[in-house]
Amino acid sequence: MRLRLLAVLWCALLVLSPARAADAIAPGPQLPQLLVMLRLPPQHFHPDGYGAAYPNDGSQAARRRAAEALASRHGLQVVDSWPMPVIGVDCYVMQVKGADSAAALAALAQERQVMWAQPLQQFHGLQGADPLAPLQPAERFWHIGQLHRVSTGKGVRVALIDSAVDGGHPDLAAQLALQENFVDGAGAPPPEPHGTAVAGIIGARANNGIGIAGVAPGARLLALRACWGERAEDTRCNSFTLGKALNFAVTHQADIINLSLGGPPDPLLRALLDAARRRGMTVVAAADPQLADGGFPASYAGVLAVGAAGATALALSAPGADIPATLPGKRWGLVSGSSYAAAQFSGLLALMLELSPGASPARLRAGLVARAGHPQLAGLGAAGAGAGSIDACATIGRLAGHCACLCSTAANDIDTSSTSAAAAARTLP
Amino acid sequence: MPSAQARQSFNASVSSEAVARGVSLSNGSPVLQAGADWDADNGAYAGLHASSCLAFAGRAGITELDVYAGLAQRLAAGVSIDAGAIHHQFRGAAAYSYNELVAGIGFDRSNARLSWSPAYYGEGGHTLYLEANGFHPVGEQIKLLAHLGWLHGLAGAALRQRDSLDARLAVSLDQGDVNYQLAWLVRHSLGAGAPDSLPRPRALAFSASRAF
Repeated sequence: MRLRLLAVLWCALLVLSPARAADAIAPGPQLPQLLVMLRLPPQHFHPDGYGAAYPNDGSQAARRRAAEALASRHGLQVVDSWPMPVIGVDCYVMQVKGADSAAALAALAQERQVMWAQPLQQFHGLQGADPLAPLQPAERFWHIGQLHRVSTGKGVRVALIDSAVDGGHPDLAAQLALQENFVDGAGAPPPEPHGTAVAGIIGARANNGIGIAGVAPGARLLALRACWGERAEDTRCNSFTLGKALNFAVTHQADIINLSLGGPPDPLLRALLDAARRRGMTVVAAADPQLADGGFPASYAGVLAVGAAGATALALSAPGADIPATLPGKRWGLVSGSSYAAAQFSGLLALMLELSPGASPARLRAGLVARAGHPQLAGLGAAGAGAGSIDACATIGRLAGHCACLCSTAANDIDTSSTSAAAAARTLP
Repeated sequence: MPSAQARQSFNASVSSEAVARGVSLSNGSPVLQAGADWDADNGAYAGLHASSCLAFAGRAGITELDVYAGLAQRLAAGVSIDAGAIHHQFRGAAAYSYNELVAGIGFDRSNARLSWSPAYYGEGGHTLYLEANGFHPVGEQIKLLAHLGWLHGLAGAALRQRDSLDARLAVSLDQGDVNYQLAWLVRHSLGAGAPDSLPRPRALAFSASRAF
């Protein structure tokens, strides 16, 4: 009898409760949208016996009520939300219905319960426009086949925040530790070229008789879809999708976070990048060649900005033209752009982290050895024949304590004298 | 009480059994629970939590009302700390009412808490309860939960209570504001002493809770 009464009471609670208003945010052209940050309280004690509320904080419904009230007051509509405990916010996406975005942002800034509000900004991949030329720069300039005798990046967790990765590609089979979709949450999305190329450049299987070898084939890839686009040059992301993926990467102990994308400075992403830095994670971002400082997030404090060799004046450059890469549909092709230079650099950092587990971003940065012809890693105007500013053999050799590449091989190309630990003399503080 | 900037939330739940630290408080019968929480922007929190239909120590129709307050702060690198106090009031079994101080540390997917009571369930003597909780997400809506607790008598009459370990493994499903949990429970008495006469819970427990 008592059980029946309790069941009736529970059904009444379910029936009387309002339906969830939020709908998944969808990519594509939309009305202007804003991100509104409400404070997410730190987890604390609840006297619920065995912690039935744990790990839910129990106050999400209250925050949603507050968000809907805010939206109603300022001519907005709640579209979606995502708690981001690593920076203590619950992030709400609100669509501008009547008022203009600037007026709504100004009004929200006056609300005491709003930590901050910002536009939902658009980001894009930093790929080049002419990807067709038959070269393999990672092997030619970095000798990754020889580096893999010393390090493959084994066990290093690299989060690539990008478009969808083709997990069924034969060069990526078993290379993905996980895949998450932060764009529409609709299960496994169709594979997309930009993310698939970045994944292969970082971590494609080596010595499997097909395709390419990733710079760090031993790394574990966290494929976090925050961007979308059927063509690499159409790859798009926004503040919200990137924020969700960054939040996930931070809470899932990524060692390296690869951001092969750029866009406007963004408060939400800055806060999450700060959280990643506080946890000792290394963030790599592609530099926009159109901007002197590389743009955002490349120019943000603590982020390692990487440009394509020959197309940037930044300190760090890597081969960025005509890179063989994995593509959706069990294909391979050549890609170009700083997106892929950053991916190669992330792979190199994974090799370094296997040899120096737990090294901080600053220590990794200090461990890089300048390529011969580059007396310093900073302030380069021209990066030479597409090799970039880094001597990968010397960098890995210094960490390993012995010659990483075959000296005779390396001595025959542009990396002369760069294959021993002695090359550390070219490292700058 | 927190400032006017506090955010208020409510919850209600139905559980197949009321269980606290491995001891059944409802003799295997279902209970209805409800609570209210206030969270202030400065990290202060307070709340009420009520459980009806409890039955223990040979009595039935007991209602428990918990009143608690504390302060939680989020530190750098994903760590949060928490300290608070709670009063457990048993209507219909007032002699079992007791107070506790609680301190905890939380991480992204786990936390640990230490509770100290000067008279646990009215017993004269001090007890400590150390617990660790963690979860592992399986997709967006499903989580695996784990709990391990150790109850230890420090001094006085509480020492007569045998130390015990309790554990809980659960599957949690979120559907909007509703959370369902199916749990496996176990308690194990430690050390020598009188036979453990405290009521054990059923091995499996189900709960459904809703936040407002």
